[in-house]
Amino acid sequence: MDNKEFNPKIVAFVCNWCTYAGADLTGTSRIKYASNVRIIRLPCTGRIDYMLLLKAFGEGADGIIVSGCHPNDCHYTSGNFHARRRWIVFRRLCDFMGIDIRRIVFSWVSAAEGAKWADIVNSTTSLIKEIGPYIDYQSLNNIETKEIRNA
Amino acid sequence: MLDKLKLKSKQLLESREVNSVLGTVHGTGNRIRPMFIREIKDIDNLIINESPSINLAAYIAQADNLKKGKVLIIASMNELKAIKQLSDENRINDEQLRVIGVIGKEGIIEFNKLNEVSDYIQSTQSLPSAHDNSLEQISSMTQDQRWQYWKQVMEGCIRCYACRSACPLCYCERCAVEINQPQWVSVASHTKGNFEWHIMRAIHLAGRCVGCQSCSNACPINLPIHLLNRAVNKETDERFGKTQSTQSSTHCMSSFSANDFEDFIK
Repeated sequence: MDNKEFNPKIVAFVCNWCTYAGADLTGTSRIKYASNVRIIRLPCTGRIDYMLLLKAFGEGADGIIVSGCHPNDCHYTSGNFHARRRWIVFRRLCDFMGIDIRRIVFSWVSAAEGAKWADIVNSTTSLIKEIGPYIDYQSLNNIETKEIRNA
Repeated sequence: MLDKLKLKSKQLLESREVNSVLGTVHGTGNRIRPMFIREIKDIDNLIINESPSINLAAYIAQADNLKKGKVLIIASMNELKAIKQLSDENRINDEQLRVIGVIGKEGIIEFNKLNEVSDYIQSTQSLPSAHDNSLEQISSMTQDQRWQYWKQVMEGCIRCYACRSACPLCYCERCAVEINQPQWVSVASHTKGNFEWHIMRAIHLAGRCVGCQSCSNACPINLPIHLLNRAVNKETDERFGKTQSTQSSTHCMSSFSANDFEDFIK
């Protein structure tokens, strides 16, 4: 057993126009925040496919942040509105299937909200530290396929 | 009722108004199977399926089946709902399809145009069909119990895609599970890929599923996968309005409202 503190892997899917710029502002404002986050920049929240989130969990993420422009601020007018509907449905389905939805944090962070971004990352990191690694989903990788199991 | 149905089908087939009749006939054993009837003599084999487990609309959703000429479909309530959704999505049109509805007590209803089907569906109070309470049961479990339950279900899935084939609204010519560059969903019948597949299936049918349960009925392992669709549809119905009765063809997942309510986005 290693006594090292659990360092969660957090993947952030952010939109290019608001949250990515916001995170940039966090850096240029020299606000320090948890280094657990890996930012993936996408053109718009409308591009953030739910399969990306599942992939992140499948590849070992313990937490996910999904963030984009505030409603009415979308660079492409309506990408975040479409995304919001999708999140509502996806979140409900995940909850129904017993996927831990506390681990998926959704937020709106504008290009001016550098401090909010740091806050989101820090609060998510401490939340995931509290609830531990997402072994449930990651352990799916270790389940043997049926043929082997039945042999 | 059956005689009337046969007579009407014969007339339409004889006058070449339709090229084939899609209905159910007796199969081997006690099975009931779907059939495209092209010869008038075969019309006599038609039966009325009292407890439909398959949705015939799945056959007309495949474009290939409509290429050979106009089809007359013998439709129960489930088929009618699927036909409405398919025509809302511009998948089928009046040149391709004639519909005869066979509805329990009401008997035989002839639809000359597809929008008559839509009107009929909207006018009938869709009675909450004899649903069991498994949705509520699962929802009332703890998160871990739900996870264990669905993990067990997903371990059973053999990924035969019978659910996809049986579904009247899963009609993409190239399904996302068959796309391998990039490979979104692992193709092996492995629990993780199974999760991804069934989540994807449920999301793609969000607000579109007509609740016929032919996915679960077709499942060789009898997995209760229709519950996923039902859970998703419950959400879309409650949040974005009853999808079955919306007039427009834009379904809820391809549209939005600036006032969509959520309470989880920080």
